[in-house]
Amino acid sequence: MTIDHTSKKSTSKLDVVSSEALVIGGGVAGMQAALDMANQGFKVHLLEKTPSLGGKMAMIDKTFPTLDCSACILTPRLSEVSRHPNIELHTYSDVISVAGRVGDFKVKIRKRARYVDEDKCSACADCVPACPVEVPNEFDQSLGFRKAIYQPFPQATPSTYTITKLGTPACREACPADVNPQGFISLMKEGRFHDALRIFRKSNPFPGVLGRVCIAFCEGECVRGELDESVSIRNLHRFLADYERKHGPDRPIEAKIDKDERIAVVGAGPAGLACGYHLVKMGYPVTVFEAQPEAGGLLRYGIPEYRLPRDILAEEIDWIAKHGVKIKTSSPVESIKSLKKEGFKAIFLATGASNSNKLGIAGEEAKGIYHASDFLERANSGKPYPLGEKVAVIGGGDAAIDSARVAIRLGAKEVTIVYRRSHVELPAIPSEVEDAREEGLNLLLLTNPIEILTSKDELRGIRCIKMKLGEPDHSGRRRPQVIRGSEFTLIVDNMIIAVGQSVTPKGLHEECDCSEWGTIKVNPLTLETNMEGVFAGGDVVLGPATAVKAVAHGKEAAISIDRFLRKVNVEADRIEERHRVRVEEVDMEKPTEPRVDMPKHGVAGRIQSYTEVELGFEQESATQEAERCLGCAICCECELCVEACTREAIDHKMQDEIIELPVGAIVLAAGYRLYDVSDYPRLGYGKFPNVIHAMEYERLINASGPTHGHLIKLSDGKLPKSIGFIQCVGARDVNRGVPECSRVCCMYGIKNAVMAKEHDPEIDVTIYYADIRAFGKGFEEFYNMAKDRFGIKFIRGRVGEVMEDRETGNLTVRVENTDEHAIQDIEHDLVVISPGIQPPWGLDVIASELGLELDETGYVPVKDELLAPVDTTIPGVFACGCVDSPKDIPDSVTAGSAAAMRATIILSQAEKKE
Amino acid sequence: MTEAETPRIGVFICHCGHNIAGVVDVVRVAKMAESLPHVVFSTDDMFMCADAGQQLIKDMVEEHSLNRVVVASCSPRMHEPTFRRVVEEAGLNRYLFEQTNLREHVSWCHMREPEAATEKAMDLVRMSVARAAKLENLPVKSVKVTPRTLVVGGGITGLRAALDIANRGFDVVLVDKEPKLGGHVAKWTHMFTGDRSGSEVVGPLVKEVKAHSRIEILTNSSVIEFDGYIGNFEATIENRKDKARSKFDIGTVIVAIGFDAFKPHGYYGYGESPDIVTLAELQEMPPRDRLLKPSDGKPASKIAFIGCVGSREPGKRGHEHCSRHCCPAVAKAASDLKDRLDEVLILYKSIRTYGRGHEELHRLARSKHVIYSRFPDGEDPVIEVVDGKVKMRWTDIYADEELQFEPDILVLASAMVARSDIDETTKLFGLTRSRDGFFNPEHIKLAPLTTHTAGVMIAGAAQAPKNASESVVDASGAAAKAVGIMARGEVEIESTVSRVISELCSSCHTCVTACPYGAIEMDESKDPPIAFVTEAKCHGCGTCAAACPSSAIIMLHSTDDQIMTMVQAYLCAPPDTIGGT
Repeated sequence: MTIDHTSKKSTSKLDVVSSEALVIGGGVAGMQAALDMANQGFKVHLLEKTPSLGGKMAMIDKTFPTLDCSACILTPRLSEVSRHPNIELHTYSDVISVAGRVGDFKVKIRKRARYVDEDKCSACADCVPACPVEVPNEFDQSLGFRKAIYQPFPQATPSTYTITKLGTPACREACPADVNPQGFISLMKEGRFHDALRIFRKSNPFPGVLGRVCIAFCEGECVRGELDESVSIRNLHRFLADYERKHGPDRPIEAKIDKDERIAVVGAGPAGLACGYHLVKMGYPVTVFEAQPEAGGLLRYGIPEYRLPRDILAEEIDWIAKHGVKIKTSSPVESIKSLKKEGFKAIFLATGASNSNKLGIAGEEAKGIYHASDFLERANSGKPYPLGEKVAVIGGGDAAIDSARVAIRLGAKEVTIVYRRSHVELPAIPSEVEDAREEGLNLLLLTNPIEILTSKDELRGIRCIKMKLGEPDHSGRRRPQVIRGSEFTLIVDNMIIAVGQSVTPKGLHEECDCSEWGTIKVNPLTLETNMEGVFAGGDVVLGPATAVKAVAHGKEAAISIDRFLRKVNVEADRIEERHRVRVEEVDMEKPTEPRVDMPKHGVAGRIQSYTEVELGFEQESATQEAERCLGCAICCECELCVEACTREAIDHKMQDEIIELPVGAIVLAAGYRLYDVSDYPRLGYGKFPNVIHAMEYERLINASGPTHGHLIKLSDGKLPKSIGFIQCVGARDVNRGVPECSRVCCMYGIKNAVMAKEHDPEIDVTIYYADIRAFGKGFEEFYNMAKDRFGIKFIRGRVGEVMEDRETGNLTVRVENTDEHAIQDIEHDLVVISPGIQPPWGLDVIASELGLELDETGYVPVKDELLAPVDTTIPGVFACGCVDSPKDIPDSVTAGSAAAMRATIILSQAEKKE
Repeated sequence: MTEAETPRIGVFICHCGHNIAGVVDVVRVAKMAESLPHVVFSTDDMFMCADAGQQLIKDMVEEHSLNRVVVASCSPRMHEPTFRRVVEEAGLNRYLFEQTNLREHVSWCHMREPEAATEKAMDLVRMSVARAAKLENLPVKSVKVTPRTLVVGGGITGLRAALDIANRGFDVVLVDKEPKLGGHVAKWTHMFTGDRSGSEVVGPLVKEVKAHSRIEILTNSSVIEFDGYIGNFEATIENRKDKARSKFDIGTVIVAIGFDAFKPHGYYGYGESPDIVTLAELQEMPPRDRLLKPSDGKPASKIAFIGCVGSREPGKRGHEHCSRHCCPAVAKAASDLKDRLDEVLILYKSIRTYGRGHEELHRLARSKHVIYSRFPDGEDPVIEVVDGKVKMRWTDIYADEELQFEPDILVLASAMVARSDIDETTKLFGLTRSRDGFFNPEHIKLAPLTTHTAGVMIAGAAQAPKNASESVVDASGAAAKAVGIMARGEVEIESTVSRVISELCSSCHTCVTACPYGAIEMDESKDPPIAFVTEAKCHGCGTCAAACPSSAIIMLHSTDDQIMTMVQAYLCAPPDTIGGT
């Protein structure tokens, strides 16, 4: 803070630079202060932390002592403020810093992105049913739920919706293809599987294929993993694909090609197909050329059928084709030039990296030794290589495990993986490894082949050496080191080398600039090659990577090609500033629950054939698994609200805005918070469902509350028959740092008791109090009416303990009745605790920016209790409402007017200078 | 546009997204409206309140030369001002706009009956169109505001209010009946919170007020006549000694006449011994090192207080309320006196130390061994004066036994009650009082400083018992209200007021008594006298028009003709425009 306090001279000599004012807090006090300044002609900035003005008063059902409906008397005030030409609202905003001095403050504020344009939104609520995300409704004290897109209450001001969004969830951040797992899982929770599938397909056309073979980076980052186990994200999108297969699509697929620029894609693997898909969605005519007889690339020729049934692959490729992508198989492309000649305006190279790497030891060419890519391709094409009984697979990646499992299916009796690192470093999908072990696979870890033993050029065995792990290498994995003298021989009939793949040495890509590894050099952001109009992606750029990275490249290339053809900057704004939701931001207060098991084909049966091992979730198990998602970012960015909004008011890319306000005076009206009554464990709040606090009670009896005004017990939803109100909790308690009386609780307690009787005159109502402080205008009369007319019982005595009957859920209040000198146990079925009030959270931050020292209880001290009771100790800063001490509504409103008066005395001096 | 001009009505049916259109067949309603008399344009639109909708109205006014606009949308509560502004921007008088509520009154409450809802919507639109044809231009009036505030009462409240207004740059006339400014506070010895005496508190304020060039002080004076309306009052102030009168033009008024400290005759032996005093009287005893007994001037060593004297008496008018200030005041006085006296006892019903620093006073008193003893409700302590000695007997609830005490001085914490002369002030300024005898604010929750008389504010203990700090908050708050009116220079007054047709007036005075705002008077210059309405005072409530036996009063913008036309449109609709039956 950089407040300048040196100019504490008399006000008449003030140098007042700005005649504008800032009011911090849009509750009833702040609104009054703003109005009373604005009515004098001063421009007022009214800042409110939450999305709406109204403060606590908007939550309250009725007001004492007249039992006026709180919302009804507040609403006209809300519209008066929002319509006032001199008041500028800054809702959903925070103070960042304050500098300057009286008459010349500079206040920096952050206007948080609400992702809804206040001017366009008409609060029609069409977005609400579209939103799949439900969160506890803070406005209803979390007794009910609201959607991620919401309006806190019907009369909220400004009359606009707000989206609660913490950022991008870890799962989405982890996905190279920007698949939005929280998005489709949120929709799955609601059973909206078609909608969910659409969300998936926005970024990836292979829900079923990648639902089987994706490495699932998302699951590695899933925050649920911090609680128990990560959500089975891959299996969930597989379910979506299965669901559509079973039930058919909900909308017909239409190809909408409305652009003229033809685009060629070379290679019908995941990268090429994804690129084609995204381009046709934009309306471009796309032709994919594939040298092989069938499309699919590595998905078809590299992945065994028991993992990825061919019909699934075929259907998803067909689905892409139906969107207008022309796929020409058995059509090798001669040269890039030839494509250009044919009139293609842009080209995407995605020819893959299907060449198997060599081990680099002698004897690799011996008979009986296969390379994984050939081995798998042959097996996948139905022309498998012959195998003996003992097979060793060298390597630990997916191709190694696939090869091993294919070998098992081909009848090998003893199949062993030889891998030079430990189990921890094994790069293959863990569940695949697990499945393979079930099928009888041996793992020979920390072992490296050093020599191939042959006889008559035929494989006989492998000389291996044991390894140990040393320091981490550049990949972060611990580097394996040879253990001298640990050599041994492994007798095998066949050996399959699966130590990675690389780009085929010869091919189309040679026309572009390539790296030393033979991959095409591209701009990593845009995938542009050195040739204009030629883009490249997938394994031919990355070297052997994962299918999902290839899909990601396809999508990015499509964006680049579109921009290239539209002649707009290809590189600009490609990296989005996104906040990855941190673990500590996520509500982890959930019971642990393990992942839903994936049903599998039995081991005995499956190793005999290539039928799919994983059977997929049923609808019930899929929903159950979806429910495990913590919904880290709250808004899941499914963007269905965007579709639902007829006014185009929703913008998910909206950013926080930081502005500086020059003001002459500041009014603090930040309100209060209720004391956390769980701090008194003996009263049972938080332990017993039928012990609630007063604000929860307000919402329960409110017609727009979670029960539409039905006063029920939270344990069983039944109407209470006997209610006890416990007063003075978290007030007048020196030991808990709340030495003062909270001033409002007696009256709101009595009001709440009266309202219980209004709801049902048969309810027995008792108030346990220390003193009844009915000091304001009409209060004592109201207190007497509660006793005499409504028959509310008042027992003077602090409650010692609340006990629960486990069976009935009923509560016993133990109290020392000080009028009758007796300790009494009184049974109720609902207990309402009336919490005291405390300074609001965040007041200390604002105070420290202002250089204002709060008193020991956290309230704003005033300059002179008797003569200047709304002036703070900082010149130009005024206090009203509950920031300086608890107050009821009229006292808060009066203080708001008073603060306005004191502030305008300063502001008017700027006026005079003009 | 002249009134004789033929109405050309535009009808705009709002979908309000799905809010209305989801239930009501808006296209059908708009179509029906086309066939209504004088309607030259009718349409439906997604959101009339949106910029696009507003522009549509303006464009259609231009294109079709519309001179009346009906928007069928939501409650006028929210958007009547919006659409009035739109028609004004389109060049029409704001009173030529008519709003039909198809949302709150139709689609929201008949959500499950779309057909019936559509019929009702058609009925309402037909009625609105009929009324629109009868709407008349009304002038938009405003009155100038005299930039001067009359502050009545020179206690701490009046002083603070006067000073704030003057410092803000407006003139103040400060009137007090007493010869000296400062009110009760100036006389008191034990102020809370803090350790200043009343004169120390109020002294600097009085000095500042006296020195201020914008404040004219009239002590020993009272307002004897008051007339006019917001921004344009005239006050006649008379000096109570020399009876000299002066008149002032006044824009706004703050009534801060304070309270009376109740003299509790009939309670606890008050009046039977000079040693039984009220808290106010104790406060006014000359401060000195030793507290002296009023009876014999000897130093006192034992003192007792009794709380709630003349307060909190159910059923006793003017004494039902809690006097709010006494609990902390007693705690403060007791705590101060305990330093000088041997024994200090407080008898109480309950302790209401509710405010900032009050509990601290209470705890301080107890920590100094001030004895607090609670007596049961309905068993008041018994006080006897025997041989000049004050004897007390009472039941202590906690000890559950009868106790006795003989204090040298007994202090009765007596009530704050409305001033004995409050009735005059009430009448003078057209105010109202609540059951407690104090002034009634405009709204007990949200408008505690304004009154039903526009331009007249109340502040401090004139509204209800309050301590000095709270009264000062009131003072600044009321000052803000006054300045808010004056700073604008003029105030717009509603044109939807009542008007007397003088030919029909039978001079019966019914309306004069019926008007809750004192807006109707008899013009005595006519013979017979005729009622006339001061429009700035009229709230347009219609009470007078309803009461007038001669039908001599019309409500502008809600004329009988306009209302009857709607009824007729509902009951006698052309066949093709019938909605419900």
